[in-house]
Amino acid sequence: MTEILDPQFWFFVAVTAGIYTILGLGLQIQFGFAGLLNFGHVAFMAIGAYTMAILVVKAGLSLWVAAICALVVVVPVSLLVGLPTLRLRADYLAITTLAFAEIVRYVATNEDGLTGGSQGTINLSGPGTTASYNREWLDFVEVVQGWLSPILGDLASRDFVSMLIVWMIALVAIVVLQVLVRSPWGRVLKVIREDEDAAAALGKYVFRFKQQALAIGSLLAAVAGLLHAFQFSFFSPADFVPLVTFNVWMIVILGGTARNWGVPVGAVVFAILYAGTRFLDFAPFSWLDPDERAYLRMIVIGLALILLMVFRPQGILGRRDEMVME
Amino acid sequence: MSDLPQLVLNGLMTGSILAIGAVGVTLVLGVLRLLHVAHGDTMAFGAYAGLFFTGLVGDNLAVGLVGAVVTSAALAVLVEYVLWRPLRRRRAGMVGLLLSSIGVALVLRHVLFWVAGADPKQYPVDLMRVYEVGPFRLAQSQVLALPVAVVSILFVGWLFSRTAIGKQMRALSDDGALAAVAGIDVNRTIVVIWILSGALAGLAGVLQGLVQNSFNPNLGFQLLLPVFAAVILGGIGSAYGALAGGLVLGLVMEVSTWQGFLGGVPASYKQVVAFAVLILMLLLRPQGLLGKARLR
Amino acid sequence: MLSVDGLRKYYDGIRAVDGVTFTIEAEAITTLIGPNGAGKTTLFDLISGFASPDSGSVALEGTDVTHLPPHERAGLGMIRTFQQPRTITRLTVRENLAVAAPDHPGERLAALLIRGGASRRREAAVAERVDGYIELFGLERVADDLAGTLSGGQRKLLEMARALMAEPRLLLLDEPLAGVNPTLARRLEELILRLRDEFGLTVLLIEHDLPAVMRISDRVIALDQGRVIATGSPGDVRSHPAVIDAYLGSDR
Repeated sequence: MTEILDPQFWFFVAVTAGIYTILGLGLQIQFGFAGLLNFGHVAFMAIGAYTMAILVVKAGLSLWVAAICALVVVVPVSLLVGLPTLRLRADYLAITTLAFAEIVRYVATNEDGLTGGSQGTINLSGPGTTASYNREWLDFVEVVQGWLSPILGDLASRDFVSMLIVWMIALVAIVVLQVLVRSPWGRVLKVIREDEDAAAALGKYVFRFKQQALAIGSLLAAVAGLLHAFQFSFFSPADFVPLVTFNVWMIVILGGTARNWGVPVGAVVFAILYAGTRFLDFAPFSWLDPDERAYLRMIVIGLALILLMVFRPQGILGRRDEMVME
Repeated sequence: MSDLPQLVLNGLMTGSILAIGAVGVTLVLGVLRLLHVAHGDTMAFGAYAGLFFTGLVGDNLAVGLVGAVVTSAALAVLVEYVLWRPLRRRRAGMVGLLLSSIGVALVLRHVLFWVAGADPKQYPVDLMRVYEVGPFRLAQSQVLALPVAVVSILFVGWLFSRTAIGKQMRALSDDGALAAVAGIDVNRTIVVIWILSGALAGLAGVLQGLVQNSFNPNLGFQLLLPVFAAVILGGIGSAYGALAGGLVLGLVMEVSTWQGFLGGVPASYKQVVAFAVLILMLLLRPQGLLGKARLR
Repeated sequence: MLSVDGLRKYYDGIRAVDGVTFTIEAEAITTLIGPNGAGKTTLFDLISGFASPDSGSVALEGTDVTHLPPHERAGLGMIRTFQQPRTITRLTVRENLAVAAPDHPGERLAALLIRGGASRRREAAVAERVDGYIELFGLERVADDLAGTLSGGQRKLLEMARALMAEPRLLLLDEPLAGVNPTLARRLEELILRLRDEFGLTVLLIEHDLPAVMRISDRVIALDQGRVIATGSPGDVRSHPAVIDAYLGSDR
């Protein structure tokens, strides 16, 4: 119970919230603004993370170069995925993207030679060796810690620095998205969101706008994937299950689709709920073992989703007239 | 397990389970315009319910099957009254329905995890017993499951072609507004659709639990995308299409591993074959192999 | 200006459009009339690209557009409105109008990020035009309200104003006077005439209000059961026996 007072724990939670914020912003652009029902969001998180790790471990690139390559790779992949799928009806787009994400996960799990298989990145150099990609990031974090510790003392832990970096990136993303959304480009997206045919009748090439929304969102997912990889120094296909996509959906809906600032709110609420359940070691929760608490968490998330859809489809921050759940 | 006739048999087994599952999904999709993500977890529920009822009466699989079918149908009807009907009244759109279905799926799956635990369970069949029938080697579970699957498929076929309620469901699936005007009691037919969908899901779950040797609550999600693929393959809203689509997909999934096909697809990628079929169908022929082009 | 040749469209065995051929002169108002189900809106869909013909062709100013997607036809100056106004409820009236402006650099992602100045300048120019149309259509009071709060008549006005913002050469109006009170209808009629006289636009409209059709049309094309049964001046078409049959037969 004393853990609840330990700031280090909350820095860790904040990192998670920040990563989910970035994921949420990506989905926000795709769904809240372009109306794309992307259920394969986690796939681009995986592609970003794996591309970087593979390039570092197998091609010997520097982490920073590998990260940039990973981001560059994501754009054409998202365009490729979008090419056939963006013309589909909403729910078919949902299952197609879900299927795509599962394919990515299957490949990651089965192609041991490429991705380290189900054991994850530790296995990237082959069995019997322990691969690591994260050296340069950890060094960088140490340097930043060195700058901060004269001012902040013990507070300047690794998680603290990660939190700062993640949230700085998240803030930049929010600002950029706000600019985009208020721009003429964003205005067209709002038309497309509500009535594609009206947009086409006015001469807008709907497909290209959707592609761009998909690409931007996927880029953000990849950034989140990279940050996840940096933070944990290790990942495996199990980190990229459909559940992650559903979590992000929850966050975006909670925050109220169509509002960028709703996303960090949703992410923070979500992260607190997730982390907070471990503090429930008083009755009646103490009667549950950790597994059961995890299940309870998921049940609560499922119920929350249902209740939101029934009672407040516009989310916490959304306004009724902005509701995009028609 | 690499010779063709055996793979064909396995394909028919897998396929009939997919077919039975797909009928429920296609009806709900066609009539309620709901992509029922929770269908998979209803199947998982059926698998566990079947196990429960089987154990209740001294390992009697028949009782287990009936119990699973009945409780799964009841579950589906319960959710209809508690969730779908209110949502329809509030004019929830496709997206709201889809997300609610995901919520139901999450709840169902994790209740199963909680109640039954994550460790694999199995039906009381003799895993070692193998029957040799001609070129085929059948596990005991398959010997039990296959006839049930065949009978069920025939039953569904009969239901839709010969009975009044079956025809009403087809009418509603083809054109909801018209059917309502033609005097079909929409709400009642919807309840019947949920009964059927839930029952078939429960049935499919039991069969899959049998055939899979051991299963956990993720059984549902693992079947979900192949079932959707079967639905698309057969044409949305068409019950016959779902049956055909399921069988074809099952065959494709199993036979694709045959080494005669350029070495064959590695067994662990069978699911990916289903995903690929799903994606290809949606891209190239979204109306299904049998359907008329009528999609957006 | 516009010519259609042998257009056919069958839906589930029904011949919605069954071999329609005609030409539309530039800077004229042509009206399509016909009883319900005659195929008028389907024809509009075929002309504007929202449906693709089973056979036949559509040409705009000599260019074959039969297989062009709707947005490309709009880009060539063919702008259509819909029977039920498709105003964007979540945007304000101003935004609805602004978004219709064609060739806006700010709508291209690359241009937006790299050369923001061009976008800003265009926005300013667009804003001026938007103000102009708001005044022309008398929408000052609701200019900054969400389009979802507008009355039916106001939405019709907005729909038409938006079509004009898109800088059309050919305007396809689908029942612009339907469901609108008589005073507003008269205003719209005058506006349509002004479009031809002052703006030099070509207008093709579908309309059921026969007196209005008589008043504003240069030419009338009558459809029934997917086929053209008469074309000519309003007076000629009105007294054409086939037209009278079609209308009497369908109880109008």
